[in-house]
Amino acid sequence: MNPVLASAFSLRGKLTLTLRLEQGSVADVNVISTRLQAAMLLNGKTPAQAVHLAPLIFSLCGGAQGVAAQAALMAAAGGEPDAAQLERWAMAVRREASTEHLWRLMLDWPQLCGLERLEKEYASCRRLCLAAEGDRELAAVLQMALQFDLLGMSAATWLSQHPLGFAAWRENSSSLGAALLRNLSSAACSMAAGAPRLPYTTAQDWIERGQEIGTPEFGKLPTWNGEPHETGALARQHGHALVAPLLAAGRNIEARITARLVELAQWANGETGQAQDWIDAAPAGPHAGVARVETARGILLHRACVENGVIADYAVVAPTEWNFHPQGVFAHDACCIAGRDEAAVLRQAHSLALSLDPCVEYEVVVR
Amino acid sequence: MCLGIPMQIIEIDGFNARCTAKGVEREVSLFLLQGEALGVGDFVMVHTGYAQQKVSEQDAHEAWALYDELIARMEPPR
Repeated sequence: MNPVLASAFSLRGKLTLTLRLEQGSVADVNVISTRLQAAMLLNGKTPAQAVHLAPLIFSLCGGAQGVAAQAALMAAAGGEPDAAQLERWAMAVRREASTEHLWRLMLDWPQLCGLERLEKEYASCRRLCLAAEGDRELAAVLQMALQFDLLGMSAATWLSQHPLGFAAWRENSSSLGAALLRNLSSAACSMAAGAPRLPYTTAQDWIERGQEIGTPEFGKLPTWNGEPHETGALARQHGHALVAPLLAAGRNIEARITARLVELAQWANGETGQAQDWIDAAPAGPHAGVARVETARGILLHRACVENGVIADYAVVAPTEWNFHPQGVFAHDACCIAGRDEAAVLRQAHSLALSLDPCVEYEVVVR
Repeated sequence: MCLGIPMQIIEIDGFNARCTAKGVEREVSLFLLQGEALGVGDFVMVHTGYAQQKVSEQDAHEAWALYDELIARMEPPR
């Protein structure tokens, strides 16, 4: 390969997830990330350039990255978004999160479980989601996807089930969502509680934690109260009536899938919460600002420091760094994996990794 | 972060495209961009084998300028 391109492709980094087996059980788990702190690319640029470049280069969740950059830079300049702007940002974040949740549920999970991928359906939903100008349009698209493909019933009916109804739906429904959960429960192993989930935070909470959130060390190995935490749909929905029983039973992978279904169903049902639930920002000193955005994969933090009209220091903390922290939730849950052979362990480890949805290429190794 | 790589389309076959960047070719899926008008010569941001979005030639060059800068910073001094 051309060495320049080889270097460029290596800029994206990769996760290597290694499980070491001893007498059929996972003895230890090693998580190695080669991801770079690429936010430094924005240093020396003007705020306007950064707002243009962030969604372009961090293209997988470009909508959330663009919103975070705008909010952090606005806060650094001492500005505040008005209510309408905040609503537009929150809607853009949910729109992108919808396409990400649907991608996992309609394409990646069926492939891993040996079920049919809903390619045409996903492509159509994605196009309609991205074209949605408001929550009402987005809700209509999601309602169709849930009714016809993922749940086989309306979002409101599904959300209002109690545990027995949910169990009956999971066992009997021909919908893809139920089929995925059946497939995963047949090979599930119990994962004890232990990896803490990140609580709801605001941008101000992170500012009060001090300056370390702008450091490369924090960007690579983020912690809350000194510990790595899980972030994402499960951290947001762990108390939901359909999710909590799965968690209590140690069925963490199924709980993460159900949490994604819950979020899609809530948005389809018009339950979007407050704009501040999804995005907020605050000044962190005279020329710095911090933004917090809840993405499909979890919390995204941007910290921008502007001096003399250019960015002196830009830092981003992405959800993957939380969930794939060497002592984080992947490492914790992977230690609970048990399988009759190496292939079964490998499949469980792949399922666990997908349930935490890294935003980079990853490799699972069992040895 | 999840960096996208800007590439130029040189051949399209259904939802698959042959794309190039810096003289190297890769197979890229256009599956996510169904419904977008895409043709040979267009630029796309590629992530894990999927074209994520169509970008202008200027945006592609701007992204490459940033990556070249980062690569230069990473290279050991000679």
